[in-house]
Amino acid sequence: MNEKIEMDRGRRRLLLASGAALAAACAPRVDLPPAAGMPSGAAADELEEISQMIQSGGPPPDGIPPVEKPAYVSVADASKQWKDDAVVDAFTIGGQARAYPRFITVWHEIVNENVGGEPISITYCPLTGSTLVFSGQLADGRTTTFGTSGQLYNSNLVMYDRATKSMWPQLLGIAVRGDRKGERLTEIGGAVTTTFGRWKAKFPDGLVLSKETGHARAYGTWPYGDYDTASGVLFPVRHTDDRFPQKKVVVGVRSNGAALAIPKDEFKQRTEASIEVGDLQLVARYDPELDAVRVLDRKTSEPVSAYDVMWFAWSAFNPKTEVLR
Amino acid sequence: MLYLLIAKALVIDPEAHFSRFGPLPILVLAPLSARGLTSWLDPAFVLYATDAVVLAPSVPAILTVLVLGTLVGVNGAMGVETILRPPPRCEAGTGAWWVAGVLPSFLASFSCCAPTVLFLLGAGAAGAVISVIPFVVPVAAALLLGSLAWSARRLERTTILAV
Repeated sequence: MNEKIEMDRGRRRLLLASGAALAAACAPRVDLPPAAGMPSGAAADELEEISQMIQSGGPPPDGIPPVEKPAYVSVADASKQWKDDAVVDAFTIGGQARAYPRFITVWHEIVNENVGGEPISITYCPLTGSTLVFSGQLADGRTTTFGTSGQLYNSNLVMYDRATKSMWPQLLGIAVRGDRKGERLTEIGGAVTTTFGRWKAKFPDGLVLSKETGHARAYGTWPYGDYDTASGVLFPVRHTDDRFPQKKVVVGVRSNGAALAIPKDEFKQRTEASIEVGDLQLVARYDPELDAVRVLDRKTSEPVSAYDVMWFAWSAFNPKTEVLR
Repeated sequence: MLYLLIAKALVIDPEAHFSRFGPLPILVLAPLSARGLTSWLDPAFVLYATDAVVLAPSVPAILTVLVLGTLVGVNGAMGVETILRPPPRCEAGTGAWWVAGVLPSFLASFSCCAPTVLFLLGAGAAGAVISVIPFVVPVAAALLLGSLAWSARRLERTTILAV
């Protein structure tokens, strides 16, 4: 395992940085907290180190605008718009199955939802292929929505909360800058990545995120080209791990500092496995209807947070991750 | 056109089937409210033109295409004019005329297009951040304006020497 900063093309970094500087100058003003600066001669703690490694991805804060008031359409209406092989992130909110087509969320990265007064955010990072759902309830009781900071850590979306402007790398789920530094967001389990065709067959009464987002975007097109399958990443990552190809999809599960990666394709043959991650006794099950892996608490059968993610990102955030063989 | 294509403001995808979104063409204008455009790099409109073609340029992209397109066209015209005019006697047969008169226009066109294209190709995979690329264009525009001034002076000189 190499512990080094990887950069595919240094030239891109320079170009993107210059673009970012220009874009930031013209951006809507959102004052995000700056890095605190390394205390000279003192050992920096992990969060401070992460904070220092956050870098601009190009767009200004909310330059990739979250969907703030999501509207939904029926499966029948969505079937006219989306092909069966369109990738969706599926999630059940308040007993209602919902699907979020990536052809829409790739342009927004965050959908700020509100269920019975409780804010939740469905977040998708195209560069790491990860969708996580977070509660908008902070530890001090305040509620918040999330925005895109335009920053990246380990090539992963860094969100900011609108209540305190603290900055949260999506795959970390912990604030690394701002008032809430060190605080962990509540992840909501049960989201899976599947295709629209599979999802609608299982949830014919479900709702699908509408293209009426309040923004003009070329929905139905993919701005990242062949990034999902091409070798290499666009931004530096802190750790690399050659156990798998960088873009291989694994299902990541994490608890109490322990991390487990379940190689998705290989797990289809296995269908079920009892696993332990940190202090959690879990069971991983392959759902053939959705072609997805769900991870449940063995005692309660409640889903825990487990999500598809590209291997390079999972291993960068969890360098000591175990792999389910 | 090439610029829009590489900047992904114009997407051609034969398998897209945009008619799924409704009868084509479909024009979606960016909301005009103050918060409608998150930044001025957002698309000003989205036009699903055919089943395979969608146009979604930002305001800078539209201006870029108009300004650079005009400058390249005028430079080209100036180059053609320079070629068609007989060189002044003092420069005839030396090759200097071609070098000093035609080459700047020729190079200027490339100074605009080539770096822009290379730049865009280089950062092409960066997806969403591609929208910041129009900021590099002012450099190309300045080169084109300089070339235009140079060519205009050459033509003026030609005219004076020919009299």
